[in-house]
Amino acid sequence: MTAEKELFCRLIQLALHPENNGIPSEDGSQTGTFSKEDCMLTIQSLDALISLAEEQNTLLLLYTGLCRLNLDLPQETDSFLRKRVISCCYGCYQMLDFARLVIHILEEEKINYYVLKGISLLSCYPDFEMRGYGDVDILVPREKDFSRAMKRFQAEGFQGKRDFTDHHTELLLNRDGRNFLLELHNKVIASQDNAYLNKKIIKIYTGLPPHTDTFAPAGLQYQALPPTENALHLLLHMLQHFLKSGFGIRLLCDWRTYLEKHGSELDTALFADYLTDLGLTGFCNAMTELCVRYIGLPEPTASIVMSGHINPSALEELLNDILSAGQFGKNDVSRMLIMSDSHTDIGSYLHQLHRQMKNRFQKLHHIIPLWPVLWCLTGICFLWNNHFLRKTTTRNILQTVKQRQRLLKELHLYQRKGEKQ
Amino acid sequence: MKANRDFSLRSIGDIHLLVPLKEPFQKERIITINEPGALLWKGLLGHSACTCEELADILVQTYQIDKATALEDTHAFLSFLEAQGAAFHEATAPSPAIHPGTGAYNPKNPHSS
Repeated sequence: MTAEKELFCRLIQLALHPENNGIPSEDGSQTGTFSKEDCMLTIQSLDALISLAEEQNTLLLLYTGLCRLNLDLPQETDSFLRKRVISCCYGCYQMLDFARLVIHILEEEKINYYVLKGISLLSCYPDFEMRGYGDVDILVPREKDFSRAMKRFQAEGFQGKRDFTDHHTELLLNRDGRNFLLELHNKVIASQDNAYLNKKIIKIYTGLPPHTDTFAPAGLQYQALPPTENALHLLLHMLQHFLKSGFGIRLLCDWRTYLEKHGSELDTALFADYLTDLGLTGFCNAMTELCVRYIGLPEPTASIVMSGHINPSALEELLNDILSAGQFGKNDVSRMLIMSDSHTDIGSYLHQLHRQMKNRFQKLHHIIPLWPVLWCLTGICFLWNNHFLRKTTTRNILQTVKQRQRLLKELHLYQRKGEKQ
Repeated sequence: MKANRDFSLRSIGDIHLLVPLKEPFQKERIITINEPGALLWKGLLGHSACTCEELADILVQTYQIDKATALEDTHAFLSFLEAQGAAFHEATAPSPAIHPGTGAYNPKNPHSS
């Protein structure tokens, strides 16, 4: 890992630990992990750190970390950062207002819903603006409720946006000249290659008792998932992105801050059962250990969900994968192919083609005789997008898949108790 | 003077904003203040009512400035807050855009309340 990436993680850790001021005092009354040399390196690496933070959508975390070091930043950089931070804060307050509207509509319609991710995580951060979010995610698992919600949102002026997923519908609302995105989920994550996992997830998330949560600073009250299922959802969300083009460090920060705030509320036995049953124990261990090692999750908190250790070199490789992905893999154009399992044979690729076809042609794929044509069209779209949109070669994409699948082996993904991969 | 508790002090690093978080979003209602401003705001919040003199003492103690300058700065700051609706004299009842928890705020029509 490069010195900048390491520094970046340490600054994030500093931002998430308000009690740690970063620089040890000479009289020993204050402890900290940043030496004078570290501070100098931080100043020298500012440009690289800022672009990393922008890629990872964590500029506020970086800025907070820098402020805790009391560094004399070059005036131009300081003024740029302040402008960006204030603009991010404004965006956050605007989204909060949008979330209030969405929740108001759902409550008025008496629809059973659960707020996912963004809003439900704000209170986990030392300053909620640090989280930042670009949309509101709501889960409405019952079919009848879902169509009722869709109708109501459309009547309120929300407009559907075309997307290729089977787990949510994107709805846009234009308000005062700005578009706000609502992702209305019918399932917590998109269908994965593992049929057992898909079936179990639907079972877990159907008929859960709503858990009333509040976000006091904004006077917001809403229904969220119960803590155990919420924690599982955070893992599933990371997994979903990891199996596609990857995810950035922000999701790790979510995992770390959620465990710190709500770890004690988890039903640990039930959570361990979920992990074992879904074959996610290795994945959970890896994500939690990354948080301990690189962004300061205290070990006692980690032990609530961790049941084993990951080989340190694989862990470093994983963090590199996360840091080079950018937010949701946007940085690396060669990461578009979904990874299925640890195999990279021709059968796996054909299986992926079939899955992509089903996502792309959500209605037509029900007509089986059309499949050969739809496969061809999906393949052509893939090659076309690689060349013209992603501006990379298909060979490059396939190579990245192979590299990332090596990492999967370390995580023993989908391996349930008593099974061998 | 009293603080309008609809406003929350939000501090990100050394950036301080006074934000009426429970109100509908309006960019012009957000107030950017500096470090001494944040200190005065906390002083204002810490008391049920605060005089300009009491607040100026906080500046004198923290920044070792003379009382006259502190009084002048505090007065200017309080007048600014008052003009923005973030603080008010005890005698004058505030008229915030919404009263959270009373149900008066309709998020579907945020600018009407």
